[in-house]
Amino acid sequence: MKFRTFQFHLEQGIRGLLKNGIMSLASIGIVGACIFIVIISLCVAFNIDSILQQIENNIGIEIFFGNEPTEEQIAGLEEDIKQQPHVVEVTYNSYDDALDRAKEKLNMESLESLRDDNPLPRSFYISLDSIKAQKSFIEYLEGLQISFEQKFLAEKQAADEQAAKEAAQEAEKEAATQTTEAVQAETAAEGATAAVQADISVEKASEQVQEVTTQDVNAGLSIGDSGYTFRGIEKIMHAQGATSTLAALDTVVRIVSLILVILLCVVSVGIIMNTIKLTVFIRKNEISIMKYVGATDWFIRWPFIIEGLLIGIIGAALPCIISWYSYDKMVDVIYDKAPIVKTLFRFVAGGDIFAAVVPICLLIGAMLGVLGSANAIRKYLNV
Amino acid sequence: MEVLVLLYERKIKLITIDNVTKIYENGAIGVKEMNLHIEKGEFVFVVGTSGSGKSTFMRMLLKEVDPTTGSIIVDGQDITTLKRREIPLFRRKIGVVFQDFRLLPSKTVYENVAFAMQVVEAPPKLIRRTVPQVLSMVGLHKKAKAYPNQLSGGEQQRVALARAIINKPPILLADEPTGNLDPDTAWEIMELLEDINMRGTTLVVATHAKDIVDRMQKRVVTIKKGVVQRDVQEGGYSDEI
Repeated sequence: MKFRTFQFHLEQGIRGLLKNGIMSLASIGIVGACIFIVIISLCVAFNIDSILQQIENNIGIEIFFGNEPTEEQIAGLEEDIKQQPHVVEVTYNSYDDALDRAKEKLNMESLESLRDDNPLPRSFYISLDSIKAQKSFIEYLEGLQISFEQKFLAEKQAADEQAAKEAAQEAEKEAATQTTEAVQAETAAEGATAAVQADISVEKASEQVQEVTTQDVNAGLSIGDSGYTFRGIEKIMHAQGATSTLAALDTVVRIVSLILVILLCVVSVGIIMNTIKLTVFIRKNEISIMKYVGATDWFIRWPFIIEGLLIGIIGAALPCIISWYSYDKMVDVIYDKAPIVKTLFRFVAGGDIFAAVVPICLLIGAMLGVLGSANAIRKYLNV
Repeated sequence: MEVLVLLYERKIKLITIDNVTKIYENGAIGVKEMNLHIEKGEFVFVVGTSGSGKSTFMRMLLKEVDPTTGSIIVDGQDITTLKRREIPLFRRKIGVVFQDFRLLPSKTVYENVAFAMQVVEAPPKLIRRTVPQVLSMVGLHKKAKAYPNQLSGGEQQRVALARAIINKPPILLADEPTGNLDPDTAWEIMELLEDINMRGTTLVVATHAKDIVDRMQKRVVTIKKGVVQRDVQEGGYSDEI
């Protein structure tokens, strides 16, 4: 398109806007009303999202370790956890850290005396990037809890078995010595009494051997038993109930506001189409004359599209300005009248919301205007 | 030789209606097996009563309606096969005026005429030079700033004429151009049309105005019930209708 043609269309578009003053105002008003509702639902959605985010950030997962795992094993575990998706940060609290935290929290300097014999457990504080990832991550941790213990127990069992074997060997050796002694006694004693005594002593010795073996077997079994109290990961602390509710709420809010916005857009397109149809209808003479003198379809379309565009953009800009101004005012009033709100959560700053809302709304407005006018004019182009 | 004949025919036959029939969707017959040639520079009256097929004929020339069968060749181009996007360019070859003038009430006389040039994207300089020339040709250079509702019927038709010829189309169609005018004004418009014809534009004028047709002594094509009933050079409105 030549520049002067564009100028001509722009001029015609603006003229059309001014000439059909009341119709244009009505269209702008309708676009404005629709965009206004879009803005409100966007503001609500943004804030609920932000509040949820604030709550999410406060919900981490803490796991506590028993006394058995060594620092190396914990460090290994930390590496494993960090490999998981959605994990933002893993903070390790050693015995000393736990004590410091407790001291700080309870404000009890006397806890310092526990430093050398510290009952407080070591822990990881794990932050996730999404509230929705919590459920699966907790399942992973529970699996880890079992596998970590099994691994640990396997190592322990291997070590214990080794020790038991050694003990058994020792006992056998001892028993063997006693048997030899008994045999020696037998040969040494010539009398029946002596023989009987020796018999008894042999029995005793073999009994002793048996006793040792039984003990070892028992020891070996008890390692595999649940009765044996190994504590690798002692406890996983999370707020799964709260987080799943929040996550569900978050999803609902997003879906509802999206549906609302789409619905409003459809309604607006319909209304704008009808309004522009009226302005087109008023000017159908002009269109047919343009057709008779050989105007191309696009030449006829452009002024109407520019008019629609202007209606859309003005219609979107007005509620943007008004609601931005009143949003900031409203937040101030709420903070002022109900200061408690401040401690619970913070509203998203007007600038942050409207940096996103303004372009979205202008785009929606422009699209509504163009779509509406392009559709409205289509019928009249077939002359 | 044949080529020469073809070239000759193409040169002089500006409009060729070849065996054209138009039947509307509701079954009404517009025109029936019509054959007609109009040569370059001719002045043709098309006469007939309402519903005779006169309007269908004019609308087909404007490509507002397409014939059901047959072909219409204008300036060497079969307009029945034109694609939608080719129509605007075709219409630039044809100027048109109507009984009801069809001016834009919100534009001044000057703007109404200039509008036709803006639509074909003429340079502004050319527009500024041409519009006053054409306005003075139709005798309205003093009324350039007036709005249509401030003008008489005859003046409004002059504006419409100025708009129709400003892009120098080879053909000018006039559909009942004097239908809304008193006899004196009608005659003035006819003189203007004749003037335009003298400058080389082919004119096709559909009309009822018996006295004018009789007085002008031009070619007269009479259409009755969708059929060309009579086609005479230098004829009158005459008797058989």
